[in-house]
Amino acid sequence: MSARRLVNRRLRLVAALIATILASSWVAVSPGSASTLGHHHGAPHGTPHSTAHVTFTKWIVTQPANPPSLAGVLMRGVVGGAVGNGTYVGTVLNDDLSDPGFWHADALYGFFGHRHSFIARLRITENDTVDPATAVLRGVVIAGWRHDQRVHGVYTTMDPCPMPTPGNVLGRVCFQGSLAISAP
Amino acid sequence: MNETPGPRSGELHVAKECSEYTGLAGSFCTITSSNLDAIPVGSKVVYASAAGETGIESDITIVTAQAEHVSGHVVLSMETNTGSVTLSGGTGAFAALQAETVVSFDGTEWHWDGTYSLTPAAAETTS
Repeated sequence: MSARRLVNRRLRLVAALIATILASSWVAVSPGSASTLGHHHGAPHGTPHSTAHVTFTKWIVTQPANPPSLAGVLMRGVVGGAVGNGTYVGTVLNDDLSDPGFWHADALYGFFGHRHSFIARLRITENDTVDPATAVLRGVVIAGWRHDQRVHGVYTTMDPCPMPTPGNVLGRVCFQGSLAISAP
Repeated sequence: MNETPGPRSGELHVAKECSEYTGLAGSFCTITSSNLDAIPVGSKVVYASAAGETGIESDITIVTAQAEHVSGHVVLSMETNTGSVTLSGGTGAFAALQAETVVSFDGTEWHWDGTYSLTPAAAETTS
């Protein structure tokens, strides 16, 4: 009973957090919004001080060495948005399964678009108590375009994935999401 | 030992995919096409250093399925996805290889385009 209340409270917290992130992302990308107007309006890919948005679809391509932990797995995928169309490569550095219903992990996300590339180190909090599972991501760009800038975003688990996922070790499961990158 | 089919110098065009390059030292890309028999498709390009602030500056080693290797160095801006790669000798068929290329990215594969030479003199000075 108390465990259910705890789960419900967590659900409300995560939902509120996702809503906040989505709301701030929407404001940043909405045509004519305050944030857009404040920075080089019309610049297609943003300036170093504007918020840049990238999208990704990723899937897992290597089996975990110590399941259910996903530490060490390699992820592939595709990216779009401000970096241009390109490829995604990621790896899970470590994870924590001790919080029932949630998966916490540190990961490297590499975005290699035809315009720009960067690698971000992200803290992932995936909520597996909702269907489909969703995650919030926070971190920083550690290499490349927009180095040192803050990153936040979300992803949603897709089953089946709406696109081909070659090498996927989870069948048709993929993760689709977006990141916002902004100066500290 | 250095019997390599094809021309001894000329243009070099190599493409590689980097679906296993994570930015960490030791991660790698895989050659997907090459006009030089000495760098066969399937060879791995292994990065000695992690990606840095603005991009990648790292020694690289190309390793073939026959365990031969060539040494090189890459400087790549991740701001623009442009840069250069130099190759400078190695083992086996690579001993005499020298190359200078520029790097570009088409959103799927990375390309090295430039010139190379495979001369006995170069082999003597680099092996």
